[in-house]
Amino acid sequence: MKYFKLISISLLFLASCGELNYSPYEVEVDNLYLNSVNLEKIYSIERESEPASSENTTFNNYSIAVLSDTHTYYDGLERQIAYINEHSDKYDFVIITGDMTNVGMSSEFNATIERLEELEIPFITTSGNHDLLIDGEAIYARLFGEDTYILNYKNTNYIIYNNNNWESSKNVPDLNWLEAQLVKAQAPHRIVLSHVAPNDQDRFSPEQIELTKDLINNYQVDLYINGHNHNPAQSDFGEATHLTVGASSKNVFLELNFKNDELTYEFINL
Amino acid sequence: MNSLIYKFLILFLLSTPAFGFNQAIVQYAGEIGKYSFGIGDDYNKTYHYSFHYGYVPSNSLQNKIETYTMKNNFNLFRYNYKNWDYRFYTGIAAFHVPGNKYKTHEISDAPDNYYRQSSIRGLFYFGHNIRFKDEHSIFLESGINDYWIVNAYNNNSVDFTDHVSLGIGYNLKF
Repeated sequence: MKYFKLISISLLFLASCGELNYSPYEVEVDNLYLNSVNLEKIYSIERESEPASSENTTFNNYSIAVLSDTHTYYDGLERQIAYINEHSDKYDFVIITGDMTNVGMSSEFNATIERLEELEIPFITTSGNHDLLIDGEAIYARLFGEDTYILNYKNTNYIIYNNNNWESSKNVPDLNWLEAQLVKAQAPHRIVLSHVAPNDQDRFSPEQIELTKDLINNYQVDLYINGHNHNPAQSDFGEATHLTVGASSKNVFLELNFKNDELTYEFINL
Repeated sequence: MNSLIYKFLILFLLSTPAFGFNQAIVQYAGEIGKYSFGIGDDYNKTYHYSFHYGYVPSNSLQNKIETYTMKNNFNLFRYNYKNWDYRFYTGIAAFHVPGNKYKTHEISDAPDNYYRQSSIRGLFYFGHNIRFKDEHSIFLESGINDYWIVNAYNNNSVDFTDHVSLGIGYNLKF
């Protein structure tokens, strides 16, 4: 009888902590389209903070946080989220420049989104090369929607695009699309964001790199921001300042500050 | 390549008596397929091994996923009562998922080994097996795959119990 009880209890315990999973690679995601949903939230923040009179000069004063390469560095990501939430009055929204997984599995995406949903401000993303592995491209499309889009917010045009040329099934980077967006970009500040650095010589031909550089110069882009390389860095790409965000494992993220129409940046070390 | 695997599998199943296998197993879930079918044997009182073919049917987002698995069970506790035999065991399984997209170490445009391989994964589990009259047995297993073991080890914020998978099955001894 004693053994029977022991067996019953352990059976119940084992059965209660777990799900009937069929495969680590099973695609099991909801249609969330988080980029579209959160873009709408960001635009509603802009509408709500719109000044009653044009004399209000603080309207365009705000900050955003840029994260990247969260991969499976969940402790680091949680520290970043905790910091941003503590300073949520300061930041209007968060951009994540890709690599939220290692091999694009549903369980990885779900674990990252579970944490990102703790953010008290909206977040938008683009895909990273790791996110597109195996069935990651289809999963990303269901969870986030498009990975190439623009955000015109206050005094800035954010141009966000997929340039994961080895992994994407699309013909990327689509520099025609990039130019078309830059032609339309009329705000005082223009920021281009992608996952891979535009001057990655392993991935892009010298012609592609030069063409991207010409676009950045011709349309007076202020900042080119990317992830992919895990160490934060700053340099120049053409006439633009080139910033690499750094991975969550490095306990760092990038902060952009807009004050009195001046754009500055700072790497926040946690 | 796939037809070669199927031929090998059929040949292997037909020759099971020669290899000494005396158990047929069907399993539902447990990371090695929605349905998996296998053959196994009790090597001795402590160690049991089995080979499985499993699959997950296709859906709108994914193609059929196949798995080829070797499971190794080690009895930790055993209790007999009349016609009933209960075993509590632990085990490790290695499974291969065929298909080019899982060979992430050699995806077409990237240099070889730019990514680690993803087609072979491991599973660590505990299980209960209840056998009746030495022929029929059912089992329940709770396991966690290598991926989430590593993540739970690397991150304090990852609770491995959130990633436990259950598998249930039937074993016929012949």
